Amino acid sequence: MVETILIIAEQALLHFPLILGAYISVSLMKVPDLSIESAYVFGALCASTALPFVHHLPSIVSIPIIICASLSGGICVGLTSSLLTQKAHIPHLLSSIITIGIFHGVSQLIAGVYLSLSGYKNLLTIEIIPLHPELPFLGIIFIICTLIAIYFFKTELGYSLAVFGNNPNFFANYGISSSYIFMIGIIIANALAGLSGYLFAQSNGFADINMGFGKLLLCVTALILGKSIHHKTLSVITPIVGLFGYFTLQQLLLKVGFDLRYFTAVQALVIVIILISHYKKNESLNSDHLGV
Amino acid sequence: MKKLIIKDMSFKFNEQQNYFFHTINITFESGNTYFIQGKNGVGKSTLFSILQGTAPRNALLVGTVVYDNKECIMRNNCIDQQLSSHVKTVVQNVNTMIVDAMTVEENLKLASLPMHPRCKPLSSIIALPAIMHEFTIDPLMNVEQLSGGQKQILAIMMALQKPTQILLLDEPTAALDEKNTHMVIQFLNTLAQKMDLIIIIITHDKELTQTYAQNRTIIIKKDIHETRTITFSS
Repeated sequence: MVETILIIAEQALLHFPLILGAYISVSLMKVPDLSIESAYVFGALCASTALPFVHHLPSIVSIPIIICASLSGGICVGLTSSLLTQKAHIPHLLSSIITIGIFHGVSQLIAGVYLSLSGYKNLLTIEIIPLHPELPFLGIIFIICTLIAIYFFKTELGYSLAVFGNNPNFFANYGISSSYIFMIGIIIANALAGLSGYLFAQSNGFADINMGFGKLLLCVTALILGKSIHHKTLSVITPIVGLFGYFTLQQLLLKVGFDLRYFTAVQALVIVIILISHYKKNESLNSDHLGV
Repeated sequence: MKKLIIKDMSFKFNEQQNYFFHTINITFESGNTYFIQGKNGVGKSTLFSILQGTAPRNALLVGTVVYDNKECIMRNNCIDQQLSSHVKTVVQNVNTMIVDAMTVEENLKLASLPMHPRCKPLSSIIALPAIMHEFTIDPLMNVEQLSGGQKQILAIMMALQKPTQILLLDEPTAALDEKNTHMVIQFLNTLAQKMDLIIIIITHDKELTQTYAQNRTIIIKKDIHETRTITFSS
């Protein structure tokens, strides 16, 4: 039982920055931010490429450098897709598809298909919990991200992102730059996805260019789950509840002998069941309020 | 008392077209609410866009605008930014001006955001929640729970969150019933007096202008040579 809880915690914490990013772009801003998958991969690849140069340095130096590298990878992706949307006036769904194409090629150029991290020191390891040496470090990242998010969601920018999702025409009436808010939101979301990509790559010991596949579905499932349990605008609790709910469901299915290869189908079914049940109950929550 | 004087103003989109309005002269005084009437296409909204400084650059605009005894400089059909930055507009569809998932207080704070919102907590409200209280709007209420008239009042208050001297409203009562219309107009009259504003309202509703006859009504007509302004005073 304890082991299952630790596995759930580890999996959830590895994906926490990603889900926080998706909460910002998909849920608050209500933007179809497909490029988050690309940011996840590119962040992992940037950090993995930087790792050989810094892994021998003291952790206090190497960890911030690697985290910055992973965030920068995500920022590059976010900047590309948001610039295409705002400056080239391409609809965001299309610009994020184009961005995925661009960064799939760039990733291959930088890293090939696969980058192994097994030859280098695992920066996430703090030997406190046997069998789960990365959990304390992931816990620290979780606490830092949560505290920053709690503060951020009370700021002008945090509110602006939620307003963007609720009424994108709002800003034009008050002389506020809508494109600035859009770009900042997408860049933050993608940067967080990049960080999560690195955590996952470091934990697994490798980064490959297909590791982002299905991550957006994970995010959407977790966010819909989170919103159906805890519905409040601008709350960091929603993604946290959704994320832990998601991995608990996954582990429960594993316990009853379910083959996880078919889990994507379960995710899709969970989304459909939650959405239909809300329509049936005719609650004030509609699919838009669930945020996708 | 401050005066906004429009002198001999004429406007047309290009040389070939007829004038939208021709040599109009209107004087607005602060502390008052004015109604502008006229058929579609006579240039009511254009007059608003001139005052906001957003008139088309290639159009033909002549005349002068004087505010508080100072003549506003017109450049490329734009009036001096010193005045236009103090002109605020409430659009016809107020739903685009409010965030219905948030509270009245949050909406008021959001309206005062700078052009580039920062990573610092939302600023406090600078305008008058006391006036809103008179119209039974609780700052902690969710905007979804407000009536049409209350939403209109909220949108007006939001427009006033930044320094304002002239408030323009495009058909604020078009979607409202009699009770709400009365509430909004009463609110605007109170506001004009308390904040010493010039409030200009576009309306098609003749009944409205007749009912609230203590205010002034300006009728703009399209015919070039017969364009005239008629003022009903109280």
